[in-house]
Amino acid sequence: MNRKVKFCLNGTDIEIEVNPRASLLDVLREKLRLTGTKKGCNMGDCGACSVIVNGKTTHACLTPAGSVEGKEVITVEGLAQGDKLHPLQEAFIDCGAVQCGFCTPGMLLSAKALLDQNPAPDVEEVKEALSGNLCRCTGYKKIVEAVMLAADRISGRVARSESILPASEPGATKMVGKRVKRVDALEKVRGEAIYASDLNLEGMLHARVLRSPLPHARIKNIAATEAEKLDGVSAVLTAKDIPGENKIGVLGGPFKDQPILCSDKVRFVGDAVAVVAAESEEIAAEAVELIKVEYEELPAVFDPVVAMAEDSPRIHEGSNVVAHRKICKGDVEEGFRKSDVIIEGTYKTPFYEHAYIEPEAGVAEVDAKGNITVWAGTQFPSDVREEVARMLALPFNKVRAVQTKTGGAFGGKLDISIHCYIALLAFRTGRPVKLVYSREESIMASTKRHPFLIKYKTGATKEGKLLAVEAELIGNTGAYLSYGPAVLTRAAVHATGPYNVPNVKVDAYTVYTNCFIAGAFRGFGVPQVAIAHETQMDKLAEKLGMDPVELRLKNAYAVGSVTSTRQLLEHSVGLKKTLEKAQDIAGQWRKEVDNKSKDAVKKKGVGVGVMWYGTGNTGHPNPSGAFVELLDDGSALVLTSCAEIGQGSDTVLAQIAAEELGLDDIDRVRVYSGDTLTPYARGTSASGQTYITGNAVRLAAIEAREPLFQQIAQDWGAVEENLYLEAGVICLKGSDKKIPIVDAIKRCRSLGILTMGHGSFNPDATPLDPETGEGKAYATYSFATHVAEVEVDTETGEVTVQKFAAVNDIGKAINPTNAEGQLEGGISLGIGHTFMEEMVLGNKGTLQTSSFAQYLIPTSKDMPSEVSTFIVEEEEPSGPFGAKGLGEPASVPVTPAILNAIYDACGVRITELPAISEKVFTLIKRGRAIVI
Amino acid sequence: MNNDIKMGKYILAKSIEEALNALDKYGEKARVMAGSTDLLPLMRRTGRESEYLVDITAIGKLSYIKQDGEVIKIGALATHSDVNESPVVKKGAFVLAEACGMVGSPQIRNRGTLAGNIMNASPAADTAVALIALGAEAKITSKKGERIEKIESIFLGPGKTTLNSKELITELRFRALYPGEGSAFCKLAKRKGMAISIVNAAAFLSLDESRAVCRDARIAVGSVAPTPVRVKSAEDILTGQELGENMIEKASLAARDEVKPIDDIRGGAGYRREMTKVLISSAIRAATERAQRGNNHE
Repeated sequence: MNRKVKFCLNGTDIEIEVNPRASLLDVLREKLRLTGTKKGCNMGDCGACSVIVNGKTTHACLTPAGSVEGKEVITVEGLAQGDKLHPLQEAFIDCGAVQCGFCTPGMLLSAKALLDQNPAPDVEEVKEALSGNLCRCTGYKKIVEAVMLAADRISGRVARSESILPASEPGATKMVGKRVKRVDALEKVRGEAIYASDLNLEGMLHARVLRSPLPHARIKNIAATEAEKLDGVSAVLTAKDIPGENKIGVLGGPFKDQPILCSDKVRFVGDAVAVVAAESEEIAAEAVELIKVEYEELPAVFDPVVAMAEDSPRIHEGSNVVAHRKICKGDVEEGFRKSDVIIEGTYKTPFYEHAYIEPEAGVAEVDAKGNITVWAGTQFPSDVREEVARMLALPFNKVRAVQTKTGGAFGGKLDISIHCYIALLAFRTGRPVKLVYSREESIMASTKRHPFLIKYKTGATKEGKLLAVEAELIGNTGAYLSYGPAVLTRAAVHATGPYNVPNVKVDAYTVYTNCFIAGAFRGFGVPQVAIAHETQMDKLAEKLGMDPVELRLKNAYAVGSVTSTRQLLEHSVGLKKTLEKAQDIAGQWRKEVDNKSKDAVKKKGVGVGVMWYGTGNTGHPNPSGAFVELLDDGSALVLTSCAEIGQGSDTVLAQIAAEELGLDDIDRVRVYSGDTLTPYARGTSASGQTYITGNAVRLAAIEAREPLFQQIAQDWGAVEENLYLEAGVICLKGSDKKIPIVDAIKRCRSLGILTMGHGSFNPDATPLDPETGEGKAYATYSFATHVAEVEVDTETGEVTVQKFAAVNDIGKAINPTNAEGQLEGGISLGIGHTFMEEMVLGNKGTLQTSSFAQYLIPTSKDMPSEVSTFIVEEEEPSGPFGAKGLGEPASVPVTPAILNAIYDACGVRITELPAISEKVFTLIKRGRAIVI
Repeated sequence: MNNDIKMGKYILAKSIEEALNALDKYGEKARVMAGSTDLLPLMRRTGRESEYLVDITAIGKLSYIKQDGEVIKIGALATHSDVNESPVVKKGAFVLAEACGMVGSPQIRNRGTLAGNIMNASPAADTAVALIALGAEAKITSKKGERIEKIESIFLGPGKTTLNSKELITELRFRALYPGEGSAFCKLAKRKGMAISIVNAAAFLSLDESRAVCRDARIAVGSVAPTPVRVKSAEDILTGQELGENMIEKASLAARDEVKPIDDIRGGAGYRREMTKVLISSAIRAATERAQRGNNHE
C-alpha cells in the first residue's frame, strides 16, 4: 500500500508516493532515478549504498522508505554544488582514490559524515569511519589519504592547489610517466558514471534465472506452463528456445563445455535451467518459483583427487581429467641425485570469490533491423559479441556489446554471466530486458579461483644452487572449464618461480568436479604456485642456514637465463633489483623486530615473497586493435574494445596516444573503449592491456600523425625522420623550424588529407610443445619481491600484518599513481586471501558462504598501518615506452611474503589456506606439544 | 524492487501506545522494527516476511540515555552509536560503550538499536554479554502492562527471547559502576572491520576497599552456546579472592570447561573453548585494572 512520504533530499523538500516498506535505496534508484547510490549486496554488508540520514551514515538498503519521513537525506548527487565539487570529491580525484568507482559514492558519504562531525580526524579515525565501506580495488590507502587531504583543505590547513602527491617524476615532461588524473574519475565521484544496473529503457522487462538446487542431476522434465500463465510474464525460456549453439566457454573450440541453459544435466548447485522475463522483478521471481523441474539425482563428486579416479562419477562425457599440461626440462631424477638437500612440501589453496562490489548486470535490446545490443559490465566485450552471436545464430556484426562502467572484475567478468540470458530474452520477446544478479546469485553463479593441490619437491646443492624442481598441480575447475586448462598451463610454466633450475618436471591436471566453476582470478594459477615455490625457498634457506633473500638472489633469473620452457630471457629482467630493494627493507625491519619479541605473547616476524608473471596469454595469439583519429582542432579520438574495469586502461591509453601525438593535455585525447563497434581487443586479462592494447594505440597514433609529418617534411624540404612533436608543435631537428600541429592539420586538410591510423599488436609468443612445454610462453615478464612484517598473537593465533612493502618491476610506469593503486589493491586482495577468504561448500554442494556476511573481504581496518610501494622500471623494448604489466603481479607475492613472515614470527608453516587464527593457533599448540 | 519487503503493511507508530496496539492486534503476524539492520536482511535471506511491520523509529523521546540516581536508563531507540558516544555510559558502564563501538560497521551502529540487538537474540551479540556483565534488566511493555526481565535470562535460543509477539522492550537499565568497580569487553573475529565475533566476553568486577580482593564478579561470554551465557564457575572462583594472574588463570580455565560451543563457519568448538579462556582472562585483567585505577574509563 503506497503512501506519501515527505523528506528533505539533498537540500530540497520532496514528497513522493512510495511503498513505505520499500528500501530507501530502491526508492532513490528506481523511483527518483538517482542511481549514484549503488546496490552491492542489499544486506548492509558492503556499504555501497551509504547515504547520510540526519547527519549519520546509513545503509539505504536497510532503511525503509517510510522511516525517512521528516528526515534529511544526503546522497552522492548532493555533494557537489553545480560544477563545484565537494572537497572530498576533489581530493578523491587528486589522490587517485578512485578505481572502478562502484564503492566511491558510499565511501564519499561515509567520509563526509565523519568530516562534518570531526574536521580533523587522524588516520585511525578515518579507517574506522570507512570500515563499513568495502572496496576491492584500491587497498584503501589512497582513499584514506584523500579523506585526510580533504580535511586539511576544508580547514584551510592545506591550500586547495597544494597536493600531497609527489609531483610528476623528474624529467617526465611528456605524458608518459606523468601522474595524470584518471579520465573517468570525475563522473565516478559525482555518481554520474553509468553501470549496467543504472540503465532503464522504455518498455523494459526484468529477468530471473532458475538455477539447479542439486550438484549433479539428470533433468527429466521442465514444466513451465504455470509460470507462463502468471500475469505479467512475457517469456519462460529453456534450452530448446536457443536458436544457435547452446555452448559457451571463453577458451573457445573444444573447451566450450558450458550450456547457457542446461537441457540434459545440471552439474553444480546454481547451474542455469530456465530464464524468465516479466514486467517486474517481483513477477519474474514469482514465475521462477512456478517452474517445475523434475530431476533424477546423480552421484556427485567435489574432491578433485576423488574425481580423478577411473570409477568416479563422470561430470561430462569424457574423463574428469580434462587436461594434463607437462613441462619437462633436463632430467629431474639426475638433478635430485646430485642434490645435497631435498625439500618436499604439499600445499592447498581454496576456492576464492572475486567479490567485486558491483554484481553482474546488463540490459539487452533488439532494434527494428534485428541488430542486438548488450550493455553490460564485462572484461571482454569482443567475447560477449561472439558468444551472443553464436547463441542466436547471427552474424557477429549484428551483435553489439557495449561495456558499461564495470565495478571491479579481477578475472570474474571475463566469462559470460547475464549476457546470453538477456540477449536471448530480448531476441524472443522483442523488448529490452534487464537482469541484475543479487549478491547471492553473483557468488553462486560466477567463477572462482581454482583451488590447487600442489606436491612440490626441490633439490639443491649445499651452496644453495637449485638443481631440480618437480611439481604436481591438481586444479579443481568445478563443473565447467572456463579458463581451466589455461590456468593450469600458466601455473605449470611459472611453477619453478623466477629461478634458474636445470632440471624441471611439472605435471598440471585440470579436473572437473561438481563444485562451482573456477576460472580466471587475478594471477591465473600463479598465486597458487607462488605459495609453493616461495615456501620451498624459505624452507631450503632455513635448512642451508642461508639468508632467504641471498638464496633467491643466487638463483634469480637475469638477462640470459633460460626458463623451464627453454625460453631465453633477452630483456627487461628486473628481478634482482626488486630483491636487493626488498633485502634492504627486510633487513631494516628485522633489526627493529629482533629486539622486541623474544618471549612475548605477541611475536613479530618478517618474510619475503617473490614472483614472476608473463604478460599476455600463454603461448597463444592475443592481439588487440585500435583506431586513432586526429581531428581538425588537434584533439584526438582513440577507439578500441579494450575494457576499462577500474584498473585505469582508459587513462593509460590516453597517455600513450597523447605522448605519440605530442599533446600535453590529457583532455585533448578521448578514449572511447569497450564497444564492439570499435576495433577488436583482447579481454582485460593477463595484465596485458598496457602492453598489448597500449602498443596497438601507440601504432595507431603513429599512423595517424604520419601524413602530417610527410606533408610538413615535404613543405620544408626536410627528411621526415628528422621531424618530431613536442607540446603540440612539430619541430625539425637541428633547425628552428616549427609548426603547431593544428596548423599542420589545417595544411593537410587543405590538400584533402585525413589524419587517422589503425594499429594492432600481438605479443611474440609461440605454442608450447605438448610433451615438454618447450616454447616462448610470453613476450615479456614482470617480476616482484614483496616484504611483510607480521605480529602473531600466540594466545589466539591472530595475525596482524603491520608493515608491507611491494617492489615490482613493471617496466615503464605510464602512470605512477595508477601503478601504486594497482599495487595497494593487490596487497589488500592478498591479505584477504591469506587470512579470511574461502568459499565453503556444505553437504550436497550447497554454498555456505553465500553473502558478504560469510564471505569476508578486507576492510580499511584490515590493512597494515604501513604500506609502501616501489616501482622498478626495467624497460621492455617491445612495450609501449618500455611498459610491461602490473595488475596481477601486484597481488601474487603477497600471500607468500606473509606466510614466510608468520613462520619467522612463530615457527608455524601454513601450507593450507586461509591462515585463519584458529589454524595458526592449532599449529602453534601442536608445535609446542612436539617440543614438550 | 525487492519482492521481500513490498508486500504487507507498514505501520509507522507515533507513540508506544500505537505500537502496542498494533502488536496486540496483529500478534504473530507483526514484527517490531527499529534499526531494521537485522530484520530486513533476515526477511530477505529467508524470503519470509512479516505481514505487518511496526516501525517504532518515529516514537519521540525513546532514544534517551540518562542516569537516574544510581541507575543508567537507555531508551529503546538509542542506537549503538548513541550508547558508544554517551558520556553517561562511558563513565558508568564502560563495557557497554566498548561493546557498542565494536558492533558491525558505523552504518549499522548508526541505525541499529541496543534494544533491537537484544531482541534479535544472536548468540554472538556483542552488546548482550556487556549487558549481562552489568546485570542489566529490560523493561518489557505490552498492553497488559510492564514487566522486568534480566538480560541473562531473556534469551531462549538463536533469535528467541522470552518476549511474546505482543511485547516490546522499551528500556534497558542497570546500575552505574561505583568507584572500585571495573568492566571490560573483548572480542575475537575473523577480520578487524565489520567483525562478527567468533567469541566475545565481558567482565564486571567489584573490588573491596583494598582494591585487591574481588567482592563480586559477573562474567559473560558469547558465541559459545545457543545464547550468550553467564559463566558462574569463573565468577565463583574470583569472588572473595585476591585478584592475581593465578586466580585469573583459574577462573578462565573454569569458564573454558563450562562452555559448550559448537562448530560453525566462524570457528570450531575446541578453538572457541580455548578462546573463551583467553578472552575472559583479558576481560578480567582489563576490568581489574580499571577498578584499581578507580576509574572505569580506559
